[in-house]
Amino acid sequence: MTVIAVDAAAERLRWESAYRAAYPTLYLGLVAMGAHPEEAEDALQDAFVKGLERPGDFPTTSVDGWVFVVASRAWRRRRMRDRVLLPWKIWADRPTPSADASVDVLAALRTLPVRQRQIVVARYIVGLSQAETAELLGIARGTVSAATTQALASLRLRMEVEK
Amino acid sequence: MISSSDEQVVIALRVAAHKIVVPPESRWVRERQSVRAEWMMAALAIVALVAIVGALRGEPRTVPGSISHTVPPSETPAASASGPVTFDLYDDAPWVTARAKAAPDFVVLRPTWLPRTPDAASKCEINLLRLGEDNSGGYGATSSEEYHVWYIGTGVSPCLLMFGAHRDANWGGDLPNASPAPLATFVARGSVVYIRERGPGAFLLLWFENGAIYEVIAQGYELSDVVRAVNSLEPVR
Repeated sequence: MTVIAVDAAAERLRWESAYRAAYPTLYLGLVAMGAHPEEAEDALQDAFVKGLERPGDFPTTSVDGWVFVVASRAWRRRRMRDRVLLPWKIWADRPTPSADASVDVLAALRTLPVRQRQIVVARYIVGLSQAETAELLGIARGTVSAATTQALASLRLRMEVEK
Repeated sequence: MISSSDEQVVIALRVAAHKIVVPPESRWVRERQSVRAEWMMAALAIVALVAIVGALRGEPRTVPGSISHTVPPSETPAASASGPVTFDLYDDAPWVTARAKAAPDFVVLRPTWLPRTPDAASKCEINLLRLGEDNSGGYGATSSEEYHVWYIGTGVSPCLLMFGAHRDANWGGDLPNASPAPLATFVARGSVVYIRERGPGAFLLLWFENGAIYEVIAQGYELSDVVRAVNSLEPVR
């Protein structure tokens, strides 16, 4: 019994360590996708708890990717819940994460469909490969490739228009 | 393989994302229950209430078992081998432009040493030198009062080095002493350099010199290498 408890504590520490190592990049990814800071924090916390409860859900090859996908789903669920529960105007008028002009490209990113945003962030901010992205999102590699191409083209166009 | 124009978009995304402020580490793991756990607790409370009511009525009830808690994975993702660092330290153009745009008495500092090899855990492939030109792409402006020169990776992993400075007293004047406390300090060029960690492998170094605040952003490199690069800074003539 004691051995099991010690093993469990050690495993929790390993999981927390992996989670903490991934946290900054995943937080940036979620906020880049359009999550408000507090939403990103809550979503990552939910993914952390889920990792503790359901270890069989994630592949051992990419803890970062697993947490990103779980957290982004948690964020979207919260968005839907907030939209249902809060008066529309309050929800729509919530402040953006930053008024810094440097986030213009992020503003452009946030105009893309959520799936494209998720793929672009997974590939280029979280640093997942095309294969990892496809596996974690449960879609074909070709879909990842096509969505990436479309998303980058849209962003490029937006940035050229802004110039 | 993506085109060079798409690379620019990717780089702009990474730079902009890198400027998002990550909350302090004390908030990364909270004691509060997740929403799912809260619902679970509420459901258990209802079940317990029903069981109590049932017991009071003398009917047999089954007490729900405990929730099974197993453990997460024991391994973090394996680090990939580092790629080559191919940027040219002697690419003068952005530095010449920064010097030309900066006010004559504004000292532009350029590294004379840069880490050639990223740390073993990173996948840096820095091969692009870019001058901050405007704010639309997140690179920061280069003008008479500020400059930003970026060494940016175009590989899959975010990886970069940036050397910049601001003479606007309203820009970042409180950053060195802002909460939480800096990770560490050291003295370079006669000034105290404040090191702030932006997450594992990501650092922001700040110091005041000649009436300006200088900054170095580094991601994907050992801190000791970043410190060495700061110590190698020399004014651009």
